[in-house]
Amino acid sequence: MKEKKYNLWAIFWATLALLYFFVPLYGTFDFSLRMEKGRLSFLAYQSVLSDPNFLASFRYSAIMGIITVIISVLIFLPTIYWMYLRLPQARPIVEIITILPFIIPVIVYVFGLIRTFSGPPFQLTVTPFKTDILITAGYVMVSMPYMYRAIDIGMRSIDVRTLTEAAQSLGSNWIQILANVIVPNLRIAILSGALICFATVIGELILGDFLVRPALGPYMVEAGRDQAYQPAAMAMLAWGLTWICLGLLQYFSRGRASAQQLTGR
Amino acid sequence: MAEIVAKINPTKAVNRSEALAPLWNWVGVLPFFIFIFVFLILPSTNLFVGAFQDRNGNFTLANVSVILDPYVLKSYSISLQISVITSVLGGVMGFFVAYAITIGKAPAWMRTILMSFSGLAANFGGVPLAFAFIATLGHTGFLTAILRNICFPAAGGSQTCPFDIYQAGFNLYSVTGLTLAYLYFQFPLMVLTITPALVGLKREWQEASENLGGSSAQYWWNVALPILWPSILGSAILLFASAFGAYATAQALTGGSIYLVTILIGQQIRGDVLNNPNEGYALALGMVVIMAVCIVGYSILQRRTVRWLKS
Amino acid sequence: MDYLELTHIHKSFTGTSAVHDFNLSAKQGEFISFLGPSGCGKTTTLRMIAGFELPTSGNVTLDGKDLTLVPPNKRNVGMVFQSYALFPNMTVEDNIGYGLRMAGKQKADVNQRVKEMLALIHMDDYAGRYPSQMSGGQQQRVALARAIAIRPRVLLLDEPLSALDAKIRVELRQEIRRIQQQLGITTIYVTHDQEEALSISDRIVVMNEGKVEQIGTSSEIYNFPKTEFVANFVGQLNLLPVEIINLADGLVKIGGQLVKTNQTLERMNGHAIRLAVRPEELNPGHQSDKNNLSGKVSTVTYLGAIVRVRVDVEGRPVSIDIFNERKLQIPKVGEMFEVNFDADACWLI
Repeated sequence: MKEKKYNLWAIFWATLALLYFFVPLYGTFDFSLRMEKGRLSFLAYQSVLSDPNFLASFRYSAIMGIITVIISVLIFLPTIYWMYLRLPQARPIVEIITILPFIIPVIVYVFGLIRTFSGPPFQLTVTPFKTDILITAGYVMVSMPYMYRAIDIGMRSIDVRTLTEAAQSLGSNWIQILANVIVPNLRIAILSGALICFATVIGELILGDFLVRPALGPYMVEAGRDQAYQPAAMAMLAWGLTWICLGLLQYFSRGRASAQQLTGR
Repeated sequence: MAEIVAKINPTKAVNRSEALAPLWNWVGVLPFFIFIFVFLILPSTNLFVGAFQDRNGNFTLANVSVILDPYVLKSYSISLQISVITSVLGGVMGFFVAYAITIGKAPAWMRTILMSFSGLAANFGGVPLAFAFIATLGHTGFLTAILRNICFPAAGGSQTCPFDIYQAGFNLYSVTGLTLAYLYFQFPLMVLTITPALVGLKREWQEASENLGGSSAQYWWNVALPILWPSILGSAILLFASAFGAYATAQALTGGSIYLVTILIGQQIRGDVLNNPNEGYALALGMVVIMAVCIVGYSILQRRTVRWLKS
Repeated sequence: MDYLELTHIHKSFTGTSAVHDFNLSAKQGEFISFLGPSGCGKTTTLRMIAGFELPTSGNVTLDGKDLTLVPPNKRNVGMVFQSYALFPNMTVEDNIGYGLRMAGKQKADVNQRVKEMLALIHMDDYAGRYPSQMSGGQQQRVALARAIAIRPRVLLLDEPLSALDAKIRVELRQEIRRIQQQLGITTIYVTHDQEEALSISDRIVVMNEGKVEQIGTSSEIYNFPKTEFVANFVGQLNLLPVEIINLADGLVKIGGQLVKTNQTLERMNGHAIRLAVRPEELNPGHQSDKNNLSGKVSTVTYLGAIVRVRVDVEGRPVSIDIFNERKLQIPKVGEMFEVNFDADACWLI
């Protein structure tokens, strides 16, 4: 029996996949360097990074991303913790709820948001600040599956019940337990959820566009209409950012980021 | 509180704290449920209620006829077309790439790159993806230019440059172009979701099949594929749903000129293109129904998968 | 030439040697066990016979033909895996008939053979069941039937019973032996359980760290172990450091007590010499024409049919296995206890 070292069929598909991944990547990079006629330069990048609108929208989305992460953690972490400890019956319901953002496409969701909150009694679209509240809630909802799953996986891997009982027997109250025992042990899970959440908000288009807020997504579409080379530069920057986020994710989970974490299912 | 509890358990409310406990537990998850109710349930049900109302707020089923609107029919047809094609192509490609990463023996460096890039690419969509494809396959794109400049000497001392794809009829800003762009995140999604199932295929099954005289093809046909089909189908359905609900890539690539159901809904939100807001809600509801069917199908198939691959 | 021959088989995995110079000649119809601790190379060798591993050097010959380079699906050796490896998507009868179907046999022939197999393993009513609906023991019997259905020239079993309960293990190993004898198939059986190997094998190959320690029948291995490893691994063994009085006559001293053995060493081998004797060869009480040792009882363990007494002889623990009898007076801890044993029952290592 000849022991084949490599499988030709496998190599064929692997090569095809690598080409499909890298050709657009390289092509975009090359294209982004050609803004100056006749020579390669980073002019497109300079143009993007010095555009005040870009900086403003990036700042907006980044801040929104951070706020979304904070609110998500504040809402989901205690809830999941409570569920593990006291209310395992709630699990099926909560799991279905976290699947809902997959069943309701964002475009449909924003439709509902506008219909519900733009008129009385809420009237959340009249001022920028109020719309920001709305869009934050939307961001939290859109990234819910990922954040929930990340925290859930983390909770499952530490014995929440025993740790809590040990802390209680040593005299801590709930806030102390959460802050000193649970959260430190969930650092990696929270971080991985936060990274995907942040990346999602930065790249989000629909909520920003339809709720008319100066997010990065709408800015890029706008810029892409009139400019030729800057969009390619923006794509590379976005790529770089995603790569950094996911790289950090892999690093912190020591390469054990599961498919579940990356796809949210 | 005590009266409520007493009414529920008239005779059992002996140990007061014990009887209170179950209800009390639900308080802990209240913030979550309130948040979900206000920002998810409320807008969704509001939308769906609107689907069954007419202009005056009376109940009607007439909005269902929105499906007959030519705009709507066309957009469903195109959406379904792209979703089916990308889920089939992406599924096949993703399956074989996942095979290469797990069972098939591709060199280790290829495997690591593919695995990490699949995670990356599955999350890379929307606007940057559209821009990347414009930069690569647009009129002046990187690949387009390279192909256009591949010239061969032809008869009569001139040159023939046969690979001008735009002259050959290719257009990035079309369903074909969109399909190519979608595939960029579809097949990595397939890789990510089917890899656990492939890993679950026990090596001993292939060895047992070989030992009993079966060839590799016979093993795949008789053992591996029958075990894997729920996974494959489930993942394909996931891919379908992912393509069907996508908006940003199409919008950024074509500016809304290609009619997808999602694009149509977007236009409906901005300005009432259907001339009937309630029909817009019906359209949205229709989309949710399709997605719900997909997700339910996926869950059922996942359960079947777990049954066999954990045995 | 014997039916199954393994000659000078070597196998190394990137630098480490997993199997070293393995040689075996098996006659047709023999039941041979590979016995050894985890990692000793027994499974690797088995897989080389099956064709799932390629020997780094050496040959596998079956009925005169060299099998070494033949692919696994062309060897016609049946294998039973440790994890059963039944195809979960097929019923019992589909599993059993798989090999015949792949070979393109007629449907009627396949059905006939499957029926025979089901009768052989006494599972006629289970034809339509799925693996997930059966217990471990039942699955293992189906796996056996599946391997035998193709009429293999050699049957290979890779620790088939290790995942089962003790009682089922004993029943099943008798079943396997019965079927093997009935059909006369040459069989190689890998196990780490010495009781299993001793009870059902014609011959045993004891392996350690990739090397063959000894090949012999059950009683040869047990009563005349060739190396210290075999003596220690198979059965219990007492090892007592001794002072040589007269090597040629086999006279040694343990502390102040004199012992004679008829199995002495030819010369000093550079290590500290020890006396080896099995616990069951030691009998309670003093006998003037035999060797005698005495010491204080340190522990007494009541194992049911056997009472195991640990005695301190000149500072060394010695285990004695006494058959339980109703009238037995069980020694107490701290008592002085005397044992006697034959000069033939012990040997020098």
